[in-house]
Amino acid sequence: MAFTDHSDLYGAINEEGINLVVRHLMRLRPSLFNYGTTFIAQNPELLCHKIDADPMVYARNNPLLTIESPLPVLGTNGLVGLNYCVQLVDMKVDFHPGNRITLPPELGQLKKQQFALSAKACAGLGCPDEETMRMLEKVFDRINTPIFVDDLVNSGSLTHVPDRPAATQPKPIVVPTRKLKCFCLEVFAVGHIEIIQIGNRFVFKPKLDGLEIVDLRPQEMEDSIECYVASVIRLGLLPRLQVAMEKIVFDQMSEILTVTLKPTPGLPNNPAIEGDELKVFINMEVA
Amino acid sequence: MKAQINTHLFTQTRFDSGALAPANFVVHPYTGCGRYQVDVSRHGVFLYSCAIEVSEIHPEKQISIDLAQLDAKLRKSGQTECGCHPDENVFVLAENGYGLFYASNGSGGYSVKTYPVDAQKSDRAEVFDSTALAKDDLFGITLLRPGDYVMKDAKNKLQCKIHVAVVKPGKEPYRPPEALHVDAEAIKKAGGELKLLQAQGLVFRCSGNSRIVIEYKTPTESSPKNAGAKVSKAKPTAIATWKKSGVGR
Amino acid sequence: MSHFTVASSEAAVGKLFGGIRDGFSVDESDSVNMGPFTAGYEVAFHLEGGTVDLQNSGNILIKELDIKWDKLRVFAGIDIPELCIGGFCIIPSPWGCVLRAPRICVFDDNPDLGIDLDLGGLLTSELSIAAKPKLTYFIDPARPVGMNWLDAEDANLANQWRLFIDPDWVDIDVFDWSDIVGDLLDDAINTAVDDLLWFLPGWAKSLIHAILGPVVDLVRAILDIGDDIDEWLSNLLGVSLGLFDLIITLVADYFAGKTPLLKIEDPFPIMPYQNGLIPVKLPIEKLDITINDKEMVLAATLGASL
Repeated sequence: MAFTDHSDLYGAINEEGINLVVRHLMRLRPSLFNYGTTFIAQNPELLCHKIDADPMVYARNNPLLTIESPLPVLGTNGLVGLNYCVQLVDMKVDFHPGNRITLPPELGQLKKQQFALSAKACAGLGCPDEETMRMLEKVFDRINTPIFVDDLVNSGSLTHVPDRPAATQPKPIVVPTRKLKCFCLEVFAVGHIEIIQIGNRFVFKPKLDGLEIVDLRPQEMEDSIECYVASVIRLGLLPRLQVAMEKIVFDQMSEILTVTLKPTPGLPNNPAIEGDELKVFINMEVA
Repeated sequence: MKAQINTHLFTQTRFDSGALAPANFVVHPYTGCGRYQVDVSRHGVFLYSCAIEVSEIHPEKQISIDLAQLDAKLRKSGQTECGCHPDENVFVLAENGYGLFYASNGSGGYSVKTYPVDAQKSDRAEVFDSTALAKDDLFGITLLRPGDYVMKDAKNKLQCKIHVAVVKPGKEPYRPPEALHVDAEAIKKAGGELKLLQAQGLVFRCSGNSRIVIEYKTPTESSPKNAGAKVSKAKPTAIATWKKSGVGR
Repeated sequence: MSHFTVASSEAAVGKLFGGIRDGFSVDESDSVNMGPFTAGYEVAFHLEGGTVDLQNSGNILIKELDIKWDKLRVFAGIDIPELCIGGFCIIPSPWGCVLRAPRICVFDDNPDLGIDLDLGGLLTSELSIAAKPKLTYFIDPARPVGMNWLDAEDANLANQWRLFIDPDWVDIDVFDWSDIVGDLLDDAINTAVDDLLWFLPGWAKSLIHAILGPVVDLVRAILDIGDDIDEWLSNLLGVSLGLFDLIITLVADYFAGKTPLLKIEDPFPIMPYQNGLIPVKLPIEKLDITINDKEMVLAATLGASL
């Protein structure tokens, strides 16, 4: 049985290949998988996980991180922010039938036409040390008006707080840090791949079917964090990982201008994830 | 570029034994041994001399002297007297051999006188004068243009018509028939009319003091004015081209 | 173990082949001295059609590849015989001619007849090719030693894996010439003679034609055409002028070394520059190719680093 029994072109990548692709992707576009504040970007040694980037990333001044706003300290009216980073590391892909990644029971067995993904989501918070905290406390003591009891008594009303002259507001600060408090969570996801048409091109679009972060308690907190991580993946990561379909067949027909490449219709699955491979079947149409 | 065609062959309409041109010739038999000087003139003007040595030791029974070519050669070298280079311009002939004089190209007008070399200039008796052919001298011609000619030998009051018939291209290459040999007697017998085909030779044996002139009069009825394969007035621009270089018209 | 498998059906390979076939064209000329005549040609042609047949032996067989002649002109320069008159015998004898009239020739020099045949559109020819796939790794000679992959990308000097069709043999079949070739030659000869004699009066031309005899026959005899002009032309072009050998060599060189069936950049790009972010490319460490009677299969092994 030939690869092209049902199509003009056939392309397939196996698990080892896809994991190599992911590795090259992570090394060439580290900012897709690493997020943090400007301070962390300027001090990458603080990261929870050292970024293994291709030398060209440094040579061409590409960012190691996607810069995000500092984490606001609630109640400070935006005046205090904390540095942090979030990193996806040790990413692995497993095609159906799954034999590289053991999925947690919550995700069940890897279904046909699905791929499994495992990664560590590491996060680090730049928590202020005691000295810095005491200094901050003093600042906020000056900013905020204390409530005196005799003011309340003299006014004859416990509810009336007499006006005091407002102190000068300081500028917002992002608390520098010498070390992040890091932790990692095991993240598992399952998904499938679709081919969508954008203009006259077709692109692979990975879709998330489920996500599980292992052993977080209480369960509701796990659910919320899973929701957040899923949102990051679905909205922040996957849309930036769309690859044109013809790339899988090395652009064979790209120089023949009169030919259009389209996914072969009428097949039960196209693309197909089976036999530890991602396969695609492509037809040529004469323009 | 075109080849050099001997155009005079096709344009001549008057042929004179006393003014040789392409396609005609005169012949004189040299019966006595010795060295003869040959004076060549053109349109009556002396051009050059050469010599004929007749001897029984020479085997050649015929010498053919191209008066036009010799003229050109000598003019190029600046010579007019064969005495300067005797070896080059002395022709050898067997006793009782024939001297044939002709012009292979050009507009003609050549005449020849021959006399013994050792004869004094004042009293040299010409052995041969092409302007007055002697008995047994021959005048030969090849007529190409079809049509009617008139041949006259005024001094001998001889006249006859010559009809040259058209030859049409056939499946085989045309080879002219044998030359027609005539003399005054034969002409009379033919009723004063000779019939030839194009390119067929005619040889007239003279009776003495002859100067034969043949003139073209009229084309034949079937003489094609525009015969030949694909005649065109203008140069054709078809796929055939002339390839030879270095030759001009 | 390879990471990528890419297969192209026979039809797809045919399409690929069609793309490179359409880029092939030839414009050549040559001549040779054949003794009684010189001959030459000017040719220009391109290729059309052709079917690709992949074989279990690993061969690629290309059949019925048409040669479309954009120009096929054949020249022949012929020495025609002397045209002379006179030379007849005046006084014959039993021992031969004693006195002979002079020969006067029509031309001062031996003329050449130039025949020029435009045969484009009259000849049908086909090529067949049996080839094996040949993979080579191309490094642009303009690429400086030590240039990194990204600078090479920017300078359009990326390395390439190239797949060629390397012919084992090329056959050229020359089919029947059009029926009109014989007439064309006859016309060309007659016109050539007329071109030679065009300024002569009609009676003179007619006489020269008569003396030459059927010029067509004469020229055919000089050219040694015989009864089968097709065979003669094919032989002239093929053997004497070596045109067909030249075509075979040009076709073989084109497919084997000049124009690859496939070019794969290494490293292979999967994502271009995006908002200043460098492209994502995959190093192809190894490429293997196999052919069976249904498809051509490429197996690529990725490298661990760029």
